[in-house]
Amino acid sequence: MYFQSKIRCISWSNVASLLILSMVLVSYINASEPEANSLSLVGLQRGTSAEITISGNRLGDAHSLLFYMPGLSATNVIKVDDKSIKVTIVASPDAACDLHPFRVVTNTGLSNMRLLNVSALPSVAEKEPNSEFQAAQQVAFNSTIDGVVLNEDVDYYAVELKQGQQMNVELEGLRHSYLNDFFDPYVAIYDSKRFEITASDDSVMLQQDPLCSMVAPADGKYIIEVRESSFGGNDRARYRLHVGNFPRPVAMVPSGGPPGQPLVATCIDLLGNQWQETFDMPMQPTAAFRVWSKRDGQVSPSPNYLSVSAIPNVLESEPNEDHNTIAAASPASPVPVAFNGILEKEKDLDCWVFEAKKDQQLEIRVHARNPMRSQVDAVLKILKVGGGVLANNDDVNNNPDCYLQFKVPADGKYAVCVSDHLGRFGKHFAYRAEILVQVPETSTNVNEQTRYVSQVVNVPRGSRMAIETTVTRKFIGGEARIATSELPAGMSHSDAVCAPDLGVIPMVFRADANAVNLGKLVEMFATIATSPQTSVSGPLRQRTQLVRGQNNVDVWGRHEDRLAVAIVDPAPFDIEVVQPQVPLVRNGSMTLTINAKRNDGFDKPISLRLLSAPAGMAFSAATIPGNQTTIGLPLTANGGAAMRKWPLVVMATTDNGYGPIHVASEFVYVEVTDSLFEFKFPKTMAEQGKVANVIVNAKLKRPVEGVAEIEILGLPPGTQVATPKVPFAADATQVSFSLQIPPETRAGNYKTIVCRATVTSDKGIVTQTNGNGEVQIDVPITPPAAAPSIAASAPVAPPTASAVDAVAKPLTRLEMLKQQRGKQ
Amino acid sequence: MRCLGNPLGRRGFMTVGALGGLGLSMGDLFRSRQAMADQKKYDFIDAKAESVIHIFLPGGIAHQETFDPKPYSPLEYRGELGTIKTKTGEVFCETVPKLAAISDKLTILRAMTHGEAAHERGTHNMFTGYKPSPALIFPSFGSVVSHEYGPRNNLPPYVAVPNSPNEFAGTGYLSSSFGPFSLGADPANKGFKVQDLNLGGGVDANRFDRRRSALEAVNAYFADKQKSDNIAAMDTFYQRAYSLISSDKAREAFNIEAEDNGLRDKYGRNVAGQRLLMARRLVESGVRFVTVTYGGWDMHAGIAGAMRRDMPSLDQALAALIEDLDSRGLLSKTLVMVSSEFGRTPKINNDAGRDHWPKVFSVMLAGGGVKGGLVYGSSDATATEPEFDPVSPEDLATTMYHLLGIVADKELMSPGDRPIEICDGGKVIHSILV
Repeated sequence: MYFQSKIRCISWSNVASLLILSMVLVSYINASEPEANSLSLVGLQRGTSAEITISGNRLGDAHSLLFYMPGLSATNVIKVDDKSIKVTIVASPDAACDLHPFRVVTNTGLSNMRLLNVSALPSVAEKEPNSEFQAAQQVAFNSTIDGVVLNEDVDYYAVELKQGQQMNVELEGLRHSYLNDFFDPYVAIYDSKRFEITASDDSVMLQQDPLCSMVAPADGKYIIEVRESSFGGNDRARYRLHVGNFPRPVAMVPSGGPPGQPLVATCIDLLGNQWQETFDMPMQPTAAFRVWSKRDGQVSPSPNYLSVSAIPNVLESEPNEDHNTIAAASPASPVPVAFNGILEKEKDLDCWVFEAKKDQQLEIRVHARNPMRSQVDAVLKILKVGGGVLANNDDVNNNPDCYLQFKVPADGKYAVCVSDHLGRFGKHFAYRAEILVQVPETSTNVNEQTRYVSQVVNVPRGSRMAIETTVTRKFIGGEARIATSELPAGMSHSDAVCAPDLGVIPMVFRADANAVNLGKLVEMFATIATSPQTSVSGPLRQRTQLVRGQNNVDVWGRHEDRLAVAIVDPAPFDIEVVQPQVPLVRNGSMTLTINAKRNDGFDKPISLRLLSAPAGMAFSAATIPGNQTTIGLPLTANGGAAMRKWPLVVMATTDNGYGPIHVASEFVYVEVTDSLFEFKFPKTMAEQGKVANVIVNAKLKRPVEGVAEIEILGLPPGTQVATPKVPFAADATQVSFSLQIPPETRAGNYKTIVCRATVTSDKGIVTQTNGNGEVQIDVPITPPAAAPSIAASAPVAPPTASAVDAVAKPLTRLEMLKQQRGKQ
Repeated sequence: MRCLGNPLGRRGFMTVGALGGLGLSMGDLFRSRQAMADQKKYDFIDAKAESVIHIFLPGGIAHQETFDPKPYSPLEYRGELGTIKTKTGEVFCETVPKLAAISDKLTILRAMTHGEAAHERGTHNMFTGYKPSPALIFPSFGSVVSHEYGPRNNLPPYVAVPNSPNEFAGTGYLSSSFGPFSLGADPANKGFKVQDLNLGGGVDANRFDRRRSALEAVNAYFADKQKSDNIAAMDTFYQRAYSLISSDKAREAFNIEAEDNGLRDKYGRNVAGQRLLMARRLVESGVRFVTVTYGGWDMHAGIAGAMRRDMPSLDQALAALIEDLDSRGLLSKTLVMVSSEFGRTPKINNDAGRDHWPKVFSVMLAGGGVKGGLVYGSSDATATEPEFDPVSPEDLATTMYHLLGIVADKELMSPGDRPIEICDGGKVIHSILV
C-alpha cells in the first residue's frame, strides 16, 4: 500500500518539526555555493525569448546557464548585485514542451538546479486585481498564464467556451518550488453562476499539481480559480497555467514498446476519450521515454512517459479474471514479454499467462506510477496455472509499483495477476507488467557531500575536487571502471577502478591552472567486463531532490544521467597530505600530516576532513588556524577494519568571505593491516594503600622494524605507575606495571585499563591501543580485632575443634570475605 | 432515630447526601474510604536536603562529551573532543573544565539507564520517575514535593525557571494547585521581572484588600455552586499569590538585580548563568524545588562544534552555582541534580553528531546529602551499556525523595481511588549518600 506524502496535513505537533526542518534547510542551503532561490518568470513560449531575474546568493559572478536539455539558451547574463542576475532566455521553435532543468554557472561554482517551462501556447501574464470571482481576468482560450499566488491570494481567469467544447487545464506550481517553498496549488472551474464543474488539488499525472478536464455544458463564460490549497502563498509561489483544448492523455496503452520501432498506442484522457497515435521509439532501451500527444495542431503541454525495452507487447482481452480459464483458452506467452492492460472495472483483476522453464531467473515488474504516472497502485501475484500463489508484491522502496525476482520452480505455465490495492478502477487505469529474464546491469551514482544537495563538481583552476562514486551491480560481480566522456578542456580525473568487493570509490577531478572557467554536463558510466571482449555498462543515476516534504520525504525531483562539472576560479590555498610510511594497524591510530600552502594575504582558517572513511576507519575533523600551515588529522582503525591499501582524500574548506571554497587533496594511501600485538588482560586484585602488579600478557604477532614499547593508560583515579611506558622485547610475553594505590583511592572495580603499544622506526610510529583490563581495588581486610577482654566472672568456653581448625587454617580471600559477611 | 446496623445517623446521612449532590455517591465514598485505609503511609524521615535544584538539559546531552568520555576508544566512539583530568583524578570531557576543578563536590552517576529513546518518553522518565503510561498522568518531582511539604516563607514550593519546561513537569493526577510557579520571563533578559508580582499602577494596599474581599465574596458564591479541583486549585493559587505579593521578603527572592554584580558575572551574564543564579536565590529564600531548563542538546549533527559552543556557559554557571551554594553553607542542604532525557549514541553518525541513546548516560549530583568526589557506576569501554552499578530513573527519584525526607514508597491517591506510589520500585542508592 502506498500513501502519497502531503505536507499540508499539518498538526500543531508537526509545527515544531517543520520549524526544525526549515532551520536545517537553511543550514544546508547555506552550505551550497551559488543559490538560485527565486525566478521572476518560470517559463516561456517556444520560439520566443524573455528576460528573467534570478535571485539568491552568490550569483553576482554568474557567466552562463547550464541547461540539461536542448532548446533553451541564455544570453546577456547581467549582474544586478551579488544576489541577483538578469538573463535573457531564448527558446528555440523546436524546444520540447517540458520542464527544462538548468543551473547557474558562476566563477565560484554551479548553483542548485531550477526548472524553466517551455510551452507551445502563447504566454499571458497575470494581471491583478483578479482576486474576485466577478473581476476574473479574461484570457484567451489556448494560452499559458504566468501567475503568482501571494498569501491568501486567489486568482480567477475567465474563458469563453461553446457548448460541447472540451477544456483541459494543466498547472505547474509545486514543480517550480524549491526545497522548503512548498507551494501546493489548487484549481477549480466554475460556470458563470459559480457552480463548480470540476476541481483538482493533486493529480497523479502531475505529482501534486492539478489537472482538470471538462466539457462545457452550455455556451458561456467559465471561471478558473487558482489558489494555494490552504490559502498560503508568497512571491515565490509562481505557476504556469495551461488552458485550452490541447490533447492531454493521462494514459497510453501499450505503455511501452521495443526500441527502434514505431509504437501505435491508444491515448486516454481524464474524461475517458480515446484516440490512437504512433510514436517513434528510440534506438536504445530507455526507462522513461518522453512522448507528446499531437492532435489538431495542438500538442500536450508536458510529456507522457513510456518504457522502451526489447520485449514484445501483449494487449489485454477481457475477461481475464481467472488464470486457469485463460490458460485453457489461449496460448501462453513466452518470456520475456510485456502485458499491457487497464483496470476498468471495480476490483478488476487482470491475469496473464506466460510459459517459463525450470530455474529461469525472472524479474517481474509492474510499471504504473513509474514511469507512466498512472493512477494504479498495483498489487502483483504470481500463480502456477492449476496451482496456488507462488509469490506476490505490493510496493518496493517507497514506490507503489511492484517488483520481484522469481526463480521458476518447474517447466510450465504461470500467471501474473495485477490488481489495484484499493480496487480502484477507471478508463485510464493503465499498467504494464514486464516479465523479464534477468540480465546483468550496473549503474553509478555520486554520493551527496551535503545532505539533500545533489553533488556537483566545482574544480578550482590549478587545483582539485573529489567526489565519492558508488557502483551498483545487479546480477553481476567484478571490478567496475567508472569513466566520463568529454570533460571540459583542461579538466581530468583520476582512474576510478572499483574492486569487486567494494561498492564505493573516490574520484579526484583536476583542472589545469590555465583552463577557462566553464560549466558542462558530462556523461558518466560504470563498466564491468564480463569477458575480454564483452562488458556491461550502465549510466549515472543521480537524484536531485527539488522539493522535500515532512521528514524530508522526497516529493519532487529528477534523475539525471549526466554529472554537472565546472572549472572555477583558483582557490586561495592548496593542501598536501604527507604520505605515511607505516601502516595503520587494527585497533590502531595514526595522524595524517597536512600542509597548507597559503596564497599571499590569505589568512583564513582551513577546515579539513576526509572525503569518506572506509569501513572500520574513523577520522577527526581538524582546522588549520589562519596563522598556521600544518596540522595533524587523527585516524583510527577499529578491530574489524577492512585490511587493504585505501586511497584517501582530504577535503579542505575555507570561506574567504564569499561562500565556501572546497579543495581536495591528491590521494594519500593508508594501508590497514592486522594488529601487531596480541593482548590479554588478567584481572588484577589490589587493596587500598598497597602496591599491585598489573600483569598484561602481550606478544608480537609478527616481526617488526623498530623499537616496541607498551604504555599503560586508564589507571584508576589517584593511582600511579612509576614507569608507565616500558620497552617490549620481540620475544617477550608479558609486561608488568607496579600500580601504587593510595589509601584514599575509592574501592571498586575499574575496567578502564588500556595498553597503548607503539613501534617506533625511522619511517614513523605504529600505534595500537587495546583494552580493557580490570583492576579490583578492595578495602584492606582488617586483622581480626583482639579478643575482647572477658570479665573474669564469665565462664570461658573451651575452644571447639572447629574453631581451632579455623584459626590454624589460612583462609583464601574469598573465605575471608564470606566470613566477614557472615559476621554482619 | 437510628436504624439498627446503620452507622449513619440522620445528620450523617444528610452529610453523605450533600456529598452525593457534589457528585460523590455512597458507593464512591465507601470505596474512597476503603482505598484511603489501604494506602501505604509513611512518616517523613530525616531530610538531608531542604531544597532541590533540578537542572534539566532538554534534548539529551551526550554523556561522552560531558562526564563519561572514552579517550582510548576508536575515533568513531570517542569523537573529536579531548579530556580533562578532574580534581579527584577522574577524567571528564574537555567541555567541563570548571566542573572538573570542583569534582570533589560532585557525584557523577555514569550508569544511568532506561529504555526510552523518544524525547517525550525519556523526559517523562526523568521528570516523574515513572515510565509513561496511557492510563495515568504522573506528577513531576516538584509537584510531589509541593504536595508533601507545601510552601515555605510565603514562597511557592515549586518554581520553574524560566517556564514550565514540558508537559511532564506538571501535577499529573495531583491537584493543579501543586503545579509549578513559572517565572514567565528569562532571568538573563535585561530588566527581567517576574510578571504580576507587584501591585498594579494606582493600586495601594487598602485598595488591594478591598478588591480582594470583593473577589473572595464572589469566589465563595462560585465555589458553593461549583465544586471542582480547578476552583480549589485557583483558590490555592490566589492565596499563595496574596501571600507572595504581601511579603516583601518573598518578592525579593525574584529580584535578581539585587545580586552583586561580581557574582552575576561569576555565574556568567548569559542564559545559563542567570537562570542558575535565580535558582540559587529561590532556594536560599525558601523555595523547595526549582526546575531549571537550559539549552538544546539534541545534537544529531556536528556535536563537537555544538558542544564547544554551548557547554562553556553551562560549565561556568554550574561550577559557580555549586561554589556559591557551598560558600553560603547551602550546599549541604541543597541537592543539585543535572539530568537529561537520555544520552547519545556510542558511535558518531554520518553527520558528525550522535543520536538518542537511553541505555547508558550520566547524571550529575551535588550537595544535599550526596557525597562529593564520587563517580558511581560506569559504562563499558564504548559507553554503550552500563558496566557496573546501573541506576534507573526509579532509583534516582527514590534517592532524591529520600534525601528530601520523603519515602518514595508512600502512596498518593490518584483518580479512581487508586493509591499510587510516589515512585514504584526504586531503591535508595546508599553508596552515594553521606
